[in-house]
Amino acid sequence: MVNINGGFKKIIGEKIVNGAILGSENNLYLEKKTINDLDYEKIDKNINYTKLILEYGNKNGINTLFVQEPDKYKEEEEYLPYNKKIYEVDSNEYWINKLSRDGSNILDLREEKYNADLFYKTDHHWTNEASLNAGKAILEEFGLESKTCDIGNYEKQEFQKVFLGSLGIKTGKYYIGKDNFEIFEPKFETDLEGSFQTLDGTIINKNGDFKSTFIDEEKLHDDEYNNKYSVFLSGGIIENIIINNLAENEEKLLVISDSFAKPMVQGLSLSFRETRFIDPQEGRYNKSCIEYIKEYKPDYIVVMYSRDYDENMIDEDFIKYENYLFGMSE
Amino acid sequence: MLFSSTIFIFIFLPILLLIYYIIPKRFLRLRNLILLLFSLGFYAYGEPKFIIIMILSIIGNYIFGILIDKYRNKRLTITTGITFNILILVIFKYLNFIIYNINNVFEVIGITNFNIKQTAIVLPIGISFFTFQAISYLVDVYRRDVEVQKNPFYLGMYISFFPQLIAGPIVRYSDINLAITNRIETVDKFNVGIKRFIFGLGKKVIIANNMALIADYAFSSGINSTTAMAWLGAIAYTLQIFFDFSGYSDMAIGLGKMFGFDYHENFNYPYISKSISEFWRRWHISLGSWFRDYVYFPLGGSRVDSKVKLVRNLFIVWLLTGIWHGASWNFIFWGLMYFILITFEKLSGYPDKFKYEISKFLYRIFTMLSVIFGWVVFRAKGMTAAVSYLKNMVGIGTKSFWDYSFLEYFMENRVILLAGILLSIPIITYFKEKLRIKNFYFTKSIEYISCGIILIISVSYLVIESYNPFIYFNF
Repeated sequence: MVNINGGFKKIIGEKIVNGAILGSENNLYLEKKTINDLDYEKIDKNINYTKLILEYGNKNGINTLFVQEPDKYKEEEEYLPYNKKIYEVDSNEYWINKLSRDGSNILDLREEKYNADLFYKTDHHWTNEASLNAGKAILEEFGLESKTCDIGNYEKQEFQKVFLGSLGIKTGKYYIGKDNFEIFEPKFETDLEGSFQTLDGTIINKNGDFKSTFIDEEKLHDDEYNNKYSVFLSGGIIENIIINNLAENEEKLLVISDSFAKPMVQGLSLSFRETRFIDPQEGRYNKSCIEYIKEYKPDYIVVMYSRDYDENMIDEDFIKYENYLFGMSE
Repeated sequence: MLFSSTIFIFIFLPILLLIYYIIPKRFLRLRNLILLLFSLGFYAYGEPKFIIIMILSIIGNYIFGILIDKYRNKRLTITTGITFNILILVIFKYLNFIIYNINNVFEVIGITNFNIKQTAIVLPIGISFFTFQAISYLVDVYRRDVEVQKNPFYLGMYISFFPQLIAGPIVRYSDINLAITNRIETVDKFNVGIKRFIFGLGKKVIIANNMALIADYAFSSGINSTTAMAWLGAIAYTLQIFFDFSGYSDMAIGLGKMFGFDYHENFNYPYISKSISEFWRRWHISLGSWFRDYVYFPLGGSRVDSKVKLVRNLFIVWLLTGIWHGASWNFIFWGLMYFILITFEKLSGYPDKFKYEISKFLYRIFTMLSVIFGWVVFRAKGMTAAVSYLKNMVGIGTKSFWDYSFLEYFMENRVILLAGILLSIPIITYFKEKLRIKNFYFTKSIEYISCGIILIISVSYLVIESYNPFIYFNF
């Protein structure tokens, strides 16, 4: 019925359909983003907690980096109809300004040179190619060898018109059709072990090469399954642990991020002995990130938030933050 | 429960049709009992406690019908019967409004320490419709236009029958009394009923609900409104209320046909009217004829011996029409607006007296504008808001002539707006008649394909969207 409804609305020329907006170049955007409901008090709290993580890392000799994800929603508004404004663009700038003012190490992937600004038309996520480019930029920022994320070292497998993303499921497949979807597989040898915790708490253990460890092939080839983005990390999102048996070092990476990191950590994990990715959004990894760092003892920390994330961080974590604020001398 | 809901379309109606038609036709009493029980269940679905009022109405009107028939020469019985129904209406619909105004009067005259508390009484759905039906039954029994119904279940079925229960049409007992005990259900009639239901569903879900989005935004814009948005909102509401209400009437008529009942039409392209008087012969016909037969004619109608009495009769009818629509001053002013316009037409003889076509044409535009302005008063939350909105329409109190919000609402809905305007005039009837002359089977095919498409698209809207208001639910 969603498909029929979206198809009908396409015929009669509607651009705002079931919560999605049709913008320029046939891209879909979330209508909710045009509502100014930014809670700067909450954003400040989240920024402070992020700073705490970065400060804790720095204080304990861990290479830390805050990464600003590229944004499908741009500052210039001509790509949206009816002169609509996106307010969260202001939020991204606010984050960057506040963090850089306090001396945090920042990588802004919105810059064109990183070529990470590639998005699906029907989804809010970046493409697999963009995530690889982002991984490369992060490794270079850390001063590490970046060939494991160099797209030239990957083979691309493209699937035509198979991905109906988070915005596309609002409008249905007849509105603008489905996205093409690509999988990148390293040309070099890989041997990995992965433990991926899905949204319902199930832990999936896989091992083998890159594709067999990371990609949920069943969902990838299922014509009825629309959300192809979830095939990355075999569907894992809450806590994901990757062991690279062919790593050339014994270093450990921790990525604290949202679902944008799912394809990105696949490439990054090939540069570290162990990589962990936790998503601290509400209902996902909701224990203390600081405690996690204390226990895991990573050599590198990447903190990467999107515009939604900053409004989802739970207060429980923040209560612990306040405790740490007074315990920073330990 | 709404007709335009998935639970009605896919659960209630199919189950009822199955049970109804499984019962052999010779067991008509059983079929009627099923209709009664399902109607009561339909009414109870939304608010179970309202069923008590419905049952009270049925029992009370049954008793009064018997008494009126038995004591025909005593006007007390008919008066008490009518009062019984009016009292139900007053208590459940108008009591808080009365209290509110009494308190205002006290405040104005300086009595500030006297304040009657508002009640927690909630308006039962459809109360204005079924009480008027009940009153028409009692009066028709009194006038000997119909035989009294001695079977309480049959009377209960008439008062509570779900197709017309919640939003009309206001069905006269004389129109269906024979059908209660002897009706003909045919495949053709059933098909016609289904088609009518589907077209009504489309009018409501596809056109009315989308126009509602524009109207709701326009009427809530306040100081942020623009002149263009005010006009767009007024036109949208004009279309919304027509397609909402006539759509529901179509569904009611279609449902009636599915069970062998034939209801009169309730709308006849009111927006092509050449005068206000004609508008009210085309709009909510069952209500207009009810007031004509049970208020206007008993007062003498237009066959009175003075213009003063004529004006008095018109005043009473239009005051009551306004009051019937709602417990709020803007409904009363809306009704009185029509009193002024219709009185003018009756006393002056215009527009019939116009000699020139251009004059008639201009009067037609005047009629349409009056209707649109009237709907603004009808829709607004009170007279202050209505006046403010009307000012916006002429550029007073608006921030600009247009803005991007107007552009958004216009462009997003331009196709449905156009469809609404075109379907407000008998364009389909015109083309249907043209095509029927040429090819019967072709027109039938177009009808069935259209039905299928309208049904699928309507259901897709119902499944997707939670926004499904129904205006006349407040009556």
